[in-house]
Amino acid sequence: MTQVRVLIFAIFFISITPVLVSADFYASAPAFDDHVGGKTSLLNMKSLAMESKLKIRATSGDGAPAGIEYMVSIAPINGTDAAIGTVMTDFRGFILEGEGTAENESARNEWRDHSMVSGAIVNFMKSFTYTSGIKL
Amino acid sequence: MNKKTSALLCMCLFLSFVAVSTADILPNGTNTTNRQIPSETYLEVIGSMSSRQMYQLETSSHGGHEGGFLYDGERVSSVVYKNDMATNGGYLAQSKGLKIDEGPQQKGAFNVDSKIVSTYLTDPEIGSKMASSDSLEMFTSGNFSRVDKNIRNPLVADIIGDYVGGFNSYYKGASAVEMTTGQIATMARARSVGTDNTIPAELRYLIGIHPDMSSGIPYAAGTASTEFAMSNEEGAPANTTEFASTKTMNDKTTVDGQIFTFGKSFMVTSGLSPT
Repeated sequence: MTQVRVLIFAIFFISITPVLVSADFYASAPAFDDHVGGKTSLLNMKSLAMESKLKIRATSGDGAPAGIEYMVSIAPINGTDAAIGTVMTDFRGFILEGEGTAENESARNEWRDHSMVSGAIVNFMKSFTYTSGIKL
Repeated sequence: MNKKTSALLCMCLFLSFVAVSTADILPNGTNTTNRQIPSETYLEVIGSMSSRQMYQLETSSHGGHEGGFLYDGERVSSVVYKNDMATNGGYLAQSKGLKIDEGPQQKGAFNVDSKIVSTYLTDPEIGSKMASSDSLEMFTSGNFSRVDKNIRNPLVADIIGDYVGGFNSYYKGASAVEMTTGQIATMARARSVGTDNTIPAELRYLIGIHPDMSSGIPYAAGTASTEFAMSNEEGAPANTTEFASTKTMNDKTTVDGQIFTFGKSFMVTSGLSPT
């Protein structure tokens, strides 16, 4: 009998918990759909020193967010003043996000970054980082 | 058994406090992620350059809305930031950063945050020049709802225990520059719908044009124009059909020639305190 009472109490308590917490508290993760990418092309380069870095972490467990780090850098080689040629970069991301348990799309995030540099390149560096996580 | 009950009570209380302390309030109102997308560019080139940058954020309380009137209590918002620049020769040094941050607003995070500093120099007789344009726009709109005094205001997106009328707000900060020598600095910031009524929608825009000190020319040469605009329509509480107030503001400036110094800034913040 006491066990039943404990159970009833527990159910009662859990049913009032969302009010205590906040109206925006959800027990499940909302829907999401993320696409993020970066691209670099070199055209007719005569001399250059290039450095690029890519780090990716896909979805993981608690506390560790999904992440991408991308960096590209063009510089002259030792003994020259500039790298000669054309560099193009293209970064983009498209993110859909739901809210709570709703099936509708709640936020749409879109970004694009395109650049082209041509000529005597003394220094050209582009980078982007993307991290994402969920806290419920 | 009593011990069990109190242990359970303690556990439930503990869990509820943990949940309170981890609930984040985010600028876009979705309350889910702590997404951060910072990007940076450093550039120094003699030659031509073109770049395009665009960021768009749409939020909607009732899912994607395809035209027509808003539903009862529905609110939508949109932030668009665009930046284009092109040169057809000459010397260009540029530093550009865009920090998209959906982290907690209490830490000052912004949905968009941008900074561009460009220094350009060319021989005007050769015909090369630099052209740049920049714009930041924010639109928020929301409809009145009668249901349980349960309006979600578009500016604060919170459930407020009071009637609030419908809203349409549009803010814009933009500039366009063409120059043969000089330095331009632009800053843009935005923030869309918040989930807490202490955090308003916000827009800032700032532009400054200065001479390039390293070139020895004491002025920046070219044309610059700016446009700042604001319009706000507001309904009276408990009235869906009539405007209670409308406000509009418009500011356009154009300068042309030898620019020794040119600076303009625009900022909008908006909030709501239910009565």
